[in-house]
Amino acid sequence: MDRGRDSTVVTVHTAKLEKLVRIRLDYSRQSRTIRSIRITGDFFMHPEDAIEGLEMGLRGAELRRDTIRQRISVALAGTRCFGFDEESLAAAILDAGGGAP
Amino acid sequence: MAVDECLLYRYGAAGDTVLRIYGWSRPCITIGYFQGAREEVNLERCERSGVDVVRRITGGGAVFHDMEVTYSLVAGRFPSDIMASYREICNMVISGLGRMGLDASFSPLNDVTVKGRKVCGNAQTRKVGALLQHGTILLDVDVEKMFSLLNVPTAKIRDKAIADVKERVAGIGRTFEQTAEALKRGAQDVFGCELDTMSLSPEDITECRRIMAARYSQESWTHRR
Repeated sequence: MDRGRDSTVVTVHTAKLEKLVRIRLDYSRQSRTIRSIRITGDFFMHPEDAIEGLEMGLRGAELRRDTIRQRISVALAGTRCFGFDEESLAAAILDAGGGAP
Repeated sequence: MAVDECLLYRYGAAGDTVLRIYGWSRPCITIGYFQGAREEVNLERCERSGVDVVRRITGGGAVFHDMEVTYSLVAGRFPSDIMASYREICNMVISGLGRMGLDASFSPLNDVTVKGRKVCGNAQTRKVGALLQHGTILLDVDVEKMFSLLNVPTAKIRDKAIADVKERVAGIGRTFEQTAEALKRGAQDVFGCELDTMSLSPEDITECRRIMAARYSQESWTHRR
């Protein structure tokens, strides 16, 4: 692992419907931007393939609350999610990145 | 899994409704569409124990399929609201359990409970304008065996997880045949229909084999997340 890169896994129990969301995040410490992200868990998303669009849409995003929220909102427009909401997902991603402004 | 997907594309998409009731020739773990295989399952132990692992096209959690009745319901017409469709299809299970003297109720989002304990879990997907719902009705539960095959972070959590599941989950204590028959009657009760028995056509079987080869027999599918 290079010095500018950090990789972490965070497990989050979401209060809503008690589903589990795991975030595997690869991000640049220097620029605090996401290089890649994998979101796994026992949640539901309709349509299911929206998850790939979400993960792709988060690439390059700066680990800032408003940026992450906005990227999630765009990627999940028209998608029904059960087990997490946009706010709790954003919080989980920011936690994985060691907290964020 | 391939048969369920075939039914979705060939029958559900054509507007038909099909209820499939089945069991497993040997124990198997299915994982939800969004789950990480290695995160959820002790793959080495499964291999040693002869337990297959396969990814579903539906979301939700890992399921150890052992002592249960499994069903899939494919429908071309259904409530657009996801919660409403879960409720309607779970009512089929509830009615069937009622015919066996069990007072069951729907527990949102996707469970059926008896005396507050989960006896049936469900997972749904919608594609090509049709719906597929997978469901399992537990006849009995071997929690220790289940947790020997699933990953739990630490031994400390394992004990708690086992205790929690024993408290929250139960088998219904009926046979496969009793439950399958009751489920059919439940479908008739709730959907107000007679059921015709169908067999897969040669074209269906060809399609199942194609899906099996393209998806469910592929390591890349099971390990895609």
